[in-house]
Parts: sequence; C-alpha cells; structure tokens
Amino acid sequence: MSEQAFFVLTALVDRPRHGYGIVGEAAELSDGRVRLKVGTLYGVLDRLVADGLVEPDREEIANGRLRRYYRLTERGRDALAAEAARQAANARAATKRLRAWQPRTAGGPA
Amino acid sequence: MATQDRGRPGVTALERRYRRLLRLLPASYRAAWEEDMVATFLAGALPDDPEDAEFAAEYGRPDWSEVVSVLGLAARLRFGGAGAPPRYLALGEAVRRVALVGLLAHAVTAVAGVGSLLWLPVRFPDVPAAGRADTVWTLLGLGWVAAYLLLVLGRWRAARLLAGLSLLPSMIITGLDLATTGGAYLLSRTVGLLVAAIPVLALAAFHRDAMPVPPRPWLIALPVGATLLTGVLLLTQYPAGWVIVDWPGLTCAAVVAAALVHQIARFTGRTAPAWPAALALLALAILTLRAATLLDNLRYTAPAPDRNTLVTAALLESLAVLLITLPLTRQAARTLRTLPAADPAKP
Repeated sequence: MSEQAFFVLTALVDRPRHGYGIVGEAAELSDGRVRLKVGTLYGVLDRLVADGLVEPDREEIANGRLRRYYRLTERGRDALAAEAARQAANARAATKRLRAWQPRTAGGPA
Repeated sequence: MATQDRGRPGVTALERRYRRLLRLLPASYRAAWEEDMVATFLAGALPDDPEDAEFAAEYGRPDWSEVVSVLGLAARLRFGGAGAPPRYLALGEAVRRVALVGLLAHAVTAVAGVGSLLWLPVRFPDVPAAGRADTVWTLLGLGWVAAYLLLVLGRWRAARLLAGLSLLPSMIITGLDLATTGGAYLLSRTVGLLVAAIPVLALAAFHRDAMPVPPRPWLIALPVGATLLTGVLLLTQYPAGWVIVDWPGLTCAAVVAAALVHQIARFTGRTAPAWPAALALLALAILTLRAATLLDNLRYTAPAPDRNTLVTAALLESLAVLLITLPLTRQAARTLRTLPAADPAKP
C-alpha cells in the first residue's frame, strides 16, 4: 500500500469526508508531509473505489457545486488495520535493534 | 472550505483553466470524476480573503505541481495497465513497446560503439585513435544499457531516471554543435534529439498497473542487436565504405524488417495487438528523421561524386518506411477503434 493510499484510508476512519476534507486530514495526520495534489488524490481514490476499500457515501450541493463524500468500507478498514500492524511491526523491530546498539567509546577494547 | 465557491455564479477563469487541464483525462473518467476534482481543486486554490479569492479566481492558474499530478494521472489512464479498459490497455502496451524498442536501440548502439572503440585501432592502425572526449562520450552511452536492463527487469523508476540522465550528453552536444556551426543542420539535429528522446518520454507509460515485461526475449535482443550492428559497422566502416548507409538509413532498414516480420507473424496469429501501433509510431519517427537528414544534407553538404547515389538511397529508404507506415497505421487505428474505451473505475 502506498503512503498516499495509507493516509487517504486513515483520513476516512472516523467519518466520511469529501475530496478537500481528505487532503486536509492527510496533511494533518502526516504533520504536513503528505500534501496530496488533486490529480494524485483522485488517482489514489479511483483505485481504492475500484478495489472496494472506499465507496461513495453521499452527494451534497454546496453553493451550486457538487460535493461528494467517501467512506471506508469494512474491507478498507481491514486492509488499513493490516497495513498499520505491518508498519508497527517494522517500527518495533527497528526500535529494538536501535536500543540494543551501543556506540563504540574511545579507548574501549579494539 | 468556506471559500470554495466564491466567485460564482458563473464559471471563473481559474475553473475554466483547470477544466481545460482535465481534458487530458479520458472522457469516461471525466464523466465520473471531473465535477468532484474541480470542487476539490477550487476549495484548495482560493484563499480565505474575499478580495484575494476574487483575484485568484480571475487571474490564477493551476500551479505546476497540480499540472504534474494531472499529467501523471492522464499517463496512467491513457497508457493503461492491468484493469484498464481494453483500448487504453492496448495503447499503453504500444507505448511501452516504443519505450522498450527505443531503449534497446540506444543500448545496442552504445554496446556496438564501445566495441568499435576497442577494435578500430587494431583494424585500422593508421587511423588516429579516438580522443579522450570521444572515448568519454562513447562510454557515457553505457548508461542506456543500464537503463534498458533496469526496465526489462521491472525497475522502471530507476530506468526512467537513468534514461533521462543518459539523454543529457546528447542534449549538450547538440546544443554545442549548433552553437559552433552557426545553426547549420538545425532541422536534422533537432529532429535527431527529439527521436532520441521518444523512448524516454514513452517511459511515462510504465507505472504500477503496467503489465510486467517478459525479460527473456528482451534480454536476448540486446546481444543479438549489438552483434548485428557490429556486423554492419564492420562492413561499412572506412576504408571498406562500399555500402551506402548512414544511421537514419540503418534505422529505416531495421523498422522495415520489423514490420515485415510483424506482417508474417500476423498470418500465423503470433503477434500482440499492441505491435501495429508501436511499429507505426516508431516508423513515423524514423521517417521524420530520414526526411530531416535528407533535407539538411541537400542544403549543407558540398556536392560530391556519390551525392546523387546518397540522395537516391535516402529517397528509397523514405519510400520503404512510408509504405510500411500506412498499413501499420491503418491496422493500429482499426484495432484501437474496435476496443471499448469505457472506464470501469466509477465512484
């Protein structure tokens, strides 16, 4: 799963959001690192919809303009949970190895 | 969010510009996603301050990162991969073959060039050896070999980067040549550079959905091509210049041979539907290169005893390529037209 898809799915965990809402939430969740451009967002969204991980929730008209909301499906929630567990396991392995590592001190045994 | 529809009623100039950009996407995709994309874009593009928002709506343009993101999406959709509508899948496969064949041509030329560097002093001891600049130039060509191998082995991102870097020396040399010769051979040099860049641009058709390249035939093609080209060089390099052939002439011969093999394979049903479009694109590029070099030679080359023979050979080569381009284009158009272009990815 790409990092962008990961943050799009995460942005939809608590409630359905529209495109601009997903962009803002992904930026906030990633501390501003993932700033989705529109072409990129819809490139990710159309795949997630095609794969059944995300589905349209509802459409609203706001100031004469269509606003389409998307929600996470059960399958999307499972896929995100699996990906989060995988990333957490990776992080735990790296953290454990880093904690065990001791820098060589000057004057120590060769 | 609150400012997303500021400037309405009426479509603003910014919205018109963004919708124009979205025309790069297939019509079926736009039918499903355009309104949503426009709403999302405008929500992010218009500042909160009403005056600034009005100004941006009238004079603003999608910034380059938005343009790049739409270009990337358009490349993925139009040059389709697994799960794409059949028409876009066929087009994607055709463009990916153009990238593969073009990079193969660059790689074969680079290998034969390095070989030539090694055996020329042995074969022609009286001819001055290549200078340091020529040697470096020839060795830099090996970047194409690495790019080709990376692509065949599925590392398309690295291949894209390396192919782009490998094109840089050609761009620099062409620029320097044009500057030092006062713009002579401008047409053929420019067309030559554009033709060399075609496979690099065609690498845009490689993305996550792209079908994997079957490595075996493409890996075999490199040594086979390098051996064939070395054979041609051995036959035609001075002083044994009894065959009238130049680089555009060689490419003409190669594409005509490939087209003939394809037509034979068609009757036995052993050819992919993407080949006519790929070969037609390559043939068209080579025809343009042949015509441009012929025109520049007529303009800038001093009259020589064999000039008429060279011109006649170039005309015959152009005619041969034209004769294979027409049926290939017809086959490609028919194939693509009959394949459905409906997009299954609809919200």
